[in-house]
Amino acid sequence: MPHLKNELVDLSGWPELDEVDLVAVLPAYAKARAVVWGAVALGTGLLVAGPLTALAVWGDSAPPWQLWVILGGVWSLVMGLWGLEERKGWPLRGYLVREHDVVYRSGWWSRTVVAVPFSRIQHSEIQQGPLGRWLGYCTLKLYTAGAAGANLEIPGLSMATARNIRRLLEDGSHG
Amino acid sequence: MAETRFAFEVPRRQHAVGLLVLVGWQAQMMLRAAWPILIAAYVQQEEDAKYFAWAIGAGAVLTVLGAVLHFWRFSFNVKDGKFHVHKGVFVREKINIPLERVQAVHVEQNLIQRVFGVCGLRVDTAGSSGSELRIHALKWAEAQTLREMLTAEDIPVEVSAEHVIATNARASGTRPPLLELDMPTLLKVGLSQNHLAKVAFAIGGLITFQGVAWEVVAELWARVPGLWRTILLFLSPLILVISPVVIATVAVAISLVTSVLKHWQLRLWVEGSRAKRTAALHLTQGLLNRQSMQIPLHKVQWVMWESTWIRRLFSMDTVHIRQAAAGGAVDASQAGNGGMDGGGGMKMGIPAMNSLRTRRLEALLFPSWPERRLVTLRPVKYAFWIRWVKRGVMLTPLAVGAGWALGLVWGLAVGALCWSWVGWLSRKAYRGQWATTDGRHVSAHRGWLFRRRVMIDWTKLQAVQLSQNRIHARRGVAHLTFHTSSGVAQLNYLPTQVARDLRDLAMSRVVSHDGPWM
Repeated sequence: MPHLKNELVDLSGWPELDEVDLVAVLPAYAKARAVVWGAVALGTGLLVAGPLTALAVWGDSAPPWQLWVILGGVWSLVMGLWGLEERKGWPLRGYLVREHDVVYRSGWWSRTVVAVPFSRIQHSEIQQGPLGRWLGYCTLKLYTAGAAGANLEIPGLSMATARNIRRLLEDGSHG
Repeated sequence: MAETRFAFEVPRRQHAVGLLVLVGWQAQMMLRAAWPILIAAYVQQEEDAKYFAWAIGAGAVLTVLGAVLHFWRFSFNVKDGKFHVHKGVFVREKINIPLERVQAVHVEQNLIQRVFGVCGLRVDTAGSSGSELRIHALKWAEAQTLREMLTAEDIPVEVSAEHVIATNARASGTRPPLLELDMPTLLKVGLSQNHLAKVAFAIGGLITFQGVAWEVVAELWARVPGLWRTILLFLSPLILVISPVVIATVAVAISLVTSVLKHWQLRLWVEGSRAKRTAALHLTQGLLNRQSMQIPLHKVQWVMWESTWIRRLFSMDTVHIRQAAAGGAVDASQAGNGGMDGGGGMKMGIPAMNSLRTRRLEALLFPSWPERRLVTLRPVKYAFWIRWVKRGVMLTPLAVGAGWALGLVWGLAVGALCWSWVGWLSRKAYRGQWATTDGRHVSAHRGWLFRRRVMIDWTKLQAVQLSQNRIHARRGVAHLTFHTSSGVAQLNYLPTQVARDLRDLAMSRVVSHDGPWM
């Protein structure tokens, strides 16, 4: 660990975080997000269209066409915006492991970049749900002593990468 | 005094009086859980009353039994640099806390404990929520000794009561306290409270008791002679004028009484040596509930000064000091006031901080501040415009409504008034939002009528978060959030490049910091 005492030199001398270096997460995770999006779209679509169709077929009077337009409009708007966020946000999603810290970036409309130093990580967790097991990715969770916003969650890693980061972290925090 | 050395090495129980305190405490919890039953008992007919009597009796027995079991199974000791606690009636729990993980130890004494001459002890660790430990009854001197042992970190020697008394005497003898509230200052503290919350309380009280009040008034009215009645009726509009005065007086009186009770004989001092990392900020206060808190200086994570316009009038801010809290801090998005509020846990709140005391406290908590020339950071002008537009749009329906009901001219007038009003407010808010940094600390100000200033040390950061949405990205602004283990400091609407540089600088401060952060 370099001894960078308390001297404050000009900013160009500091290790700058270049977001170009970010590593993309596994495409399998994109697939998982697409699956979730599709499932939710289908589910909510059926939830909206089902009762309306039932009313039209078996009901005393068919629901007014305006109801179809309004509900359908809201549904397509929400799902469309979410889809856009996923589509545009995917290439931006990425992480970076440096000597002393981990960085994760996500989001298209509202972009967040969180940087957590290794020395502040209290414990870590590798999580793999049914989707992750099926598509072959896992989520690495790094917990600090701060609030939820100070915890890092990197989804879409391969099991090997997650383990490697974890190992690095164990070496780093004691070294 | 026959026994002055308190041995905490062998597992021991609380003071016997703890049983009574526990019964009281359990009864309180029982009542809280069982109030619907009590209400049901109240509205029941008499023949069913005996069942409720049985239920209440059973509850009482359970309470006492629970307290006895809890008391019997609860033991603690300090050994090999660890604080051991054994507890649990059905599920045995053994808790070992390494002493360096102890964040703060607070000694408190409520009314019941005062009557029996014991006090309670709360131990806060930086673990997950609920890891706070409570001992309900210890003799005052014992509690002080235990506290000294728990906060000593690497010197877990047996400390005698004489030693504690001697240190206390030495501390109070040589070093003057940072703050000692005398009566006039205490009254000023009471007067400078935020009375608005109490106004609601006062109005609520008046509404609750108005039924009684009307009866009294009616009775008095019957006794008043005819001539006086005419005069009183003539004067009755005065009630409209007087009632706000009455409400305000009640509110201020509540503020005064609560602050006097809470901050009675407040004393703030520092004790211990900085080199041995035993220096701690101590605070004692309270009339009915006596509190004695301490936070080791090097464990302080987050400090906030808070002032209202009344407090500025008296030049007295309130400062809140936090160590790493159990359960972490509150999420920035959950907390009100732009994340400037932290979580619950144990925190130290000190009133009556004038500029001199603030400077002394700053020097104590952040000894290297300012490390070098301060740089002032201001949000870009866009912060003002977006705030104005957002608030203005929110009020526009009012103008539209006025225009629809009263005509175009009125609508325009109301609209203009709304927009200039929020414009003025936004300008004030924008002006009040700024920060200074010396490259190691950051001190973030915000607010206009209610001002807050958060100060943190970058070497204690947990994470740094930079966020911007598409519009921000286009305008070249970003929000920066510094997360500590007990709260955040937020700098909003910084130029993107400045925000990035600050983040990189802060991160390099963290990774280059060799020492412990808590």
